Amino acid sequence: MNCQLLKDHKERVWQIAWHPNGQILASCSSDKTIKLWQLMNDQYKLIQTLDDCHTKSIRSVSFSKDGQFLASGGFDAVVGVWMFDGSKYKLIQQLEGHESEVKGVAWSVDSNYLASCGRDKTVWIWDHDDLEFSCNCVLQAHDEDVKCIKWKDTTLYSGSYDNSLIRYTYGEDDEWDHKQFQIEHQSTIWSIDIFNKLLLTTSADCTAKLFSIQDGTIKPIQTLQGFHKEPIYSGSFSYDGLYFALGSADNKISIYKKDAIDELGYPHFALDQIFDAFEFDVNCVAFNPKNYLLAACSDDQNIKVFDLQL
Amino acid sequence: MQLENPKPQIFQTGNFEFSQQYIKRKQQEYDPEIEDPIDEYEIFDIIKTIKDPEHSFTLEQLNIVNPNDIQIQGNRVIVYFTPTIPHCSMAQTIGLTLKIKLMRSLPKNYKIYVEIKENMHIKEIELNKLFQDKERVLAAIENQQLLKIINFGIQGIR
Repeated sequence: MNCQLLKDHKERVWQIAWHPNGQILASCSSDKTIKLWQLMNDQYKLIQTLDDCHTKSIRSVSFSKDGQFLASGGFDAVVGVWMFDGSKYKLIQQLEGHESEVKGVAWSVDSNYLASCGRDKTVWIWDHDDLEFSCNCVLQAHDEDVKCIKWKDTTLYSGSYDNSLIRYTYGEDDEWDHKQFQIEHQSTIWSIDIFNKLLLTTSADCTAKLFSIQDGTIKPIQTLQGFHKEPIYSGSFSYDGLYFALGSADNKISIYKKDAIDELGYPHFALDQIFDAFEFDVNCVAFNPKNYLLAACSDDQNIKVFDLQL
Repeated sequence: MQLENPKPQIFQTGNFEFSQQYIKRKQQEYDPEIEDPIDEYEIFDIIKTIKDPEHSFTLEQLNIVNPNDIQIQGNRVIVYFTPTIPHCSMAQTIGLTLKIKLMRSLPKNYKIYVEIKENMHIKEIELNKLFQDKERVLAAIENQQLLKIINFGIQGIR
């Protein structure tokens, strides 16, 4: 398998995120920096290091869907917002409000909202007016740390240390309503990914679960278990939804392929391949939004981009 | 400050050194023909000197850790510990200190599990989940106050 090694972080790399154009990859690390890597002549080159925002580990990083903004969340309780000025990303604001570690940041599809979540059990929704970001509301619906958040259009989903999933919708009464789902994970939900009407969760219980989300319901379709022997920290759908990847603390990455559609019209996935990806924990996997390149990062300070040739 | 367990029982240390298994291991140690993988005694050696957060005794002296409660399967190390009393509020600090000392001491590809021994604490399930959560453990050592307490424990009594 072809694989490129992206090496420059000085400590564990927590998360990676693709720019919507598929050409730039952002990575964040315990070394308190975000690095941007751009594909040039088939090689990923480090083009920028952002080190002027956080004073502790950076846990999460996310590009807005138009690529105009980059957001980050750190153990220092700060959310950073960067804007592209035509040549570089520049820090425009540090959002304060979380009481303790920020664990996830995510942009809504229209880039109007930024959400952040953390150990203080809250989800914050931020909006902006003339590039000035401010808090729209604080949602406290979980009983424990909120580990991950993901938008589907203008609906937000969060996963938690309390093993549950919560969906937030903006109601007609101009308030955010929420609904909690016990989705039978036996431990922390570490990640959520969404493709069209499919939602994928990964958990410390060493399983991943696939759900159908439509008409306001969350219907379980499939549980992937027995493939990983340690917590699964991350899951990611391919751009066409035909595949998804999981990355685990057992150092392995597994790839699943859509192989059947049942009588109710729900897709089922089967294991395509599983391989040793790093020497240490795989913290995050992310499929490129345009092709079958899969980026992954690890406690060994490295990032790899795999050409899966699917 | 009122001590929770003012007079903890103190145990004789080093009893394991008389076990057949340990004697055999000691003899093998100098034999260049025999490979010495990291075993439970080596793990025990790392953690036995950790100081209890409340008392001026080591975890070995208080029988909080002992070699029989350490399991090794390949690069997976599981350490079970026994708080001196089932409602001990120091159990969280002890568990974090054990985990962090082992993370610092063992090769980086080791997977380290620290758990409270079954039925030995009222918050056993809750605390075991915390010790397993990498994000929480790593955030703890970025908290200067907590790090100071943990490092003080690791510094130990020798």
